[in-house]
Amino acid sequence: MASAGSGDEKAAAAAMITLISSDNEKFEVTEATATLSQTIRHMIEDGCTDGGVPLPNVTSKILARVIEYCKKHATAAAGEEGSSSSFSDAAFLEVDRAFLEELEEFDDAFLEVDRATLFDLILAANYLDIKGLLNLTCQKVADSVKGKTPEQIREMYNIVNDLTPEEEAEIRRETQWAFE
Amino acid sequence: MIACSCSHSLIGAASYWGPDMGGCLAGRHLDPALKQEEMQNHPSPSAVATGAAGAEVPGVDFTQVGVLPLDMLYEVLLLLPAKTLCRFRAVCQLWRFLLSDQDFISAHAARHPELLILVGSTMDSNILLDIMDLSGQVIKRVRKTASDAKYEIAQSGQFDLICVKGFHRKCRLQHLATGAACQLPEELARGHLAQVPDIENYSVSRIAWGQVASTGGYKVLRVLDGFCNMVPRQLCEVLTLSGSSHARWREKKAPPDLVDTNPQCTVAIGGIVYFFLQRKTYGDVTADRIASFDLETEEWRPSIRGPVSTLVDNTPLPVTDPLVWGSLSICALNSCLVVVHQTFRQLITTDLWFLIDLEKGLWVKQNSLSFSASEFWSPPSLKPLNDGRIIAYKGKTGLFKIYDPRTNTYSEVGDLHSNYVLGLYKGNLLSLPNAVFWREGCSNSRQRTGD
Repeated sequence: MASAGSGDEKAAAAAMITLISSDNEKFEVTEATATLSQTIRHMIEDGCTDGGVPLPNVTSKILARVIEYCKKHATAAAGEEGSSSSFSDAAFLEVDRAFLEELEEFDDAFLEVDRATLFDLILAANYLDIKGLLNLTCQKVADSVKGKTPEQIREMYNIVNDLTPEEEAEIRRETQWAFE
Repeated sequence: MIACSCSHSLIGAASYWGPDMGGCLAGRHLDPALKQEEMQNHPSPSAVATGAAGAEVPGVDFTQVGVLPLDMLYEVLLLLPAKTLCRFRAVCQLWRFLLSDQDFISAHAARHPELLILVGSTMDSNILLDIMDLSGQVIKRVRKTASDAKYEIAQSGQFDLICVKGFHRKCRLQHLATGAACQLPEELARGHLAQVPDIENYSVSRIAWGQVASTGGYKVLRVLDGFCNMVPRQLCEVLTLSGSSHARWREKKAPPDLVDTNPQCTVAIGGIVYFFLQRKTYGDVTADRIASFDLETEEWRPSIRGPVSTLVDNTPLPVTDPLVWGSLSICALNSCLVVVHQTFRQLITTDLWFLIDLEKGLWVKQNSLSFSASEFWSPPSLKPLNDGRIIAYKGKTGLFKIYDPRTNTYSEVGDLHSNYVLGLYKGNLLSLPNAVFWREGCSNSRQRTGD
């Protein structure tokens, strides 16, 4: 693990990427971290990252969180590559398991944010095309609404009920099984 | 702006976020142009008539609420179970519209490919069937709808269709995903009406259907049971499903010998319907003969020997020993015909025989398992799953388990009570009505399906 990490750093020293948030804050990240975003990966491949990558749709607050996620998961990806190339040994498996558990804990803690931040993270993950982060955040929202009644959803999200009582009755009749 | 947000390039995505962003999770905003376009593809006026597209919601502070564009809301909703989503149609117009959209319904089914079990209910219940997951939880309940529902019973299920049998010759095929139903004509084929004595006393004992390769359409086979001079007799009729009200059953040759019309003894694979021939006595080497009807040519193929009578040639046991025959059923697994052969002493031994070559009648035993006979006084009904596990159930006793032969373990799936396993289901659960008729008028729900 340690040797994989230091090798990574050597490679990364040569390739740092500057990300610029909508409020003009600059973030220096390694290429390994940045390329978790498919959007940025394509830009790097096209060679248009000199002078920084402007991200006019991501605020510095959100970008900092996104980078935090990418850093952690880029290390995880590097760790996986490292262990798969070496012989699989009980000690290595143990390390892997511990690492995965740590990653899960990180993800859980990472999602402890208010709803507005969570939605902003979804938007940023979609915009930057970071699949893992998008899945993680969407699942968090899905879990928060799962099993709720229509009334609870309206209350949670300030949704105005624009259905007539007849329409509501019709919806209930159509899929009565879902309301039982 | 909604289309823009799908773009993964940084260029041109500036309009992606902003105060005019379409459809927050709060649900009142939808690009009027997009809505117009979707309305044309989706002829359901009642779903969008009061849409109030573009109207701001007064008094709502979106910075507190957080906003999600429509396509992100779509992604989140795709993750939710069908039951939650059907309830969420009652949140507001936009959610109703989104969650009733055929593309969304298909995408949801693709995202949730779990295998489900169809469990039929008894005749006096007002439930037609339950769709259950493999842990025994009821995911969807389909109720009876017809006026004479009392007699209705779900008889068999295959390819998203179930056959619902009513009184006498009344039968319909119902699509589990859309709820659309096709009432099969009750009237007998003209040739049978003209030639068969006492024809009105014949009743339908089995309906089977399959897709015909040449046309891609469905054909239905029905076997009718009756008597001719006190001797049991079977008739065979075929119908092409066309949605036309003028479709008629056509008389076909009777099966080569009496076929067993029990659900455990019939299965359709591709365009061929297989039946066990009726067992006469133990020791009759034709006891596991299999007849097959080709829906394409509408003819019976030569019947073949099953695996057990093939086995009997090489067994030291006398062919009259009931232990040799045990209990037999047929089913389909990965488009292959499988004979499930169970014998029982202290252990119930189950062999799964796969038909490898229909022309040559070549059988191969691919799976074998045994379990203690103390739990059952007779072998349970079995339904093998694609992943190697096997559902074992016995309606009257409530037994319902899933065996995993690889680990030699089983999981309790809950209680069937007096219900029965109809089949397996992989289709979608978000479809709207329970009953819309292809032919019979049912104007209330018709306008919502757009089929």
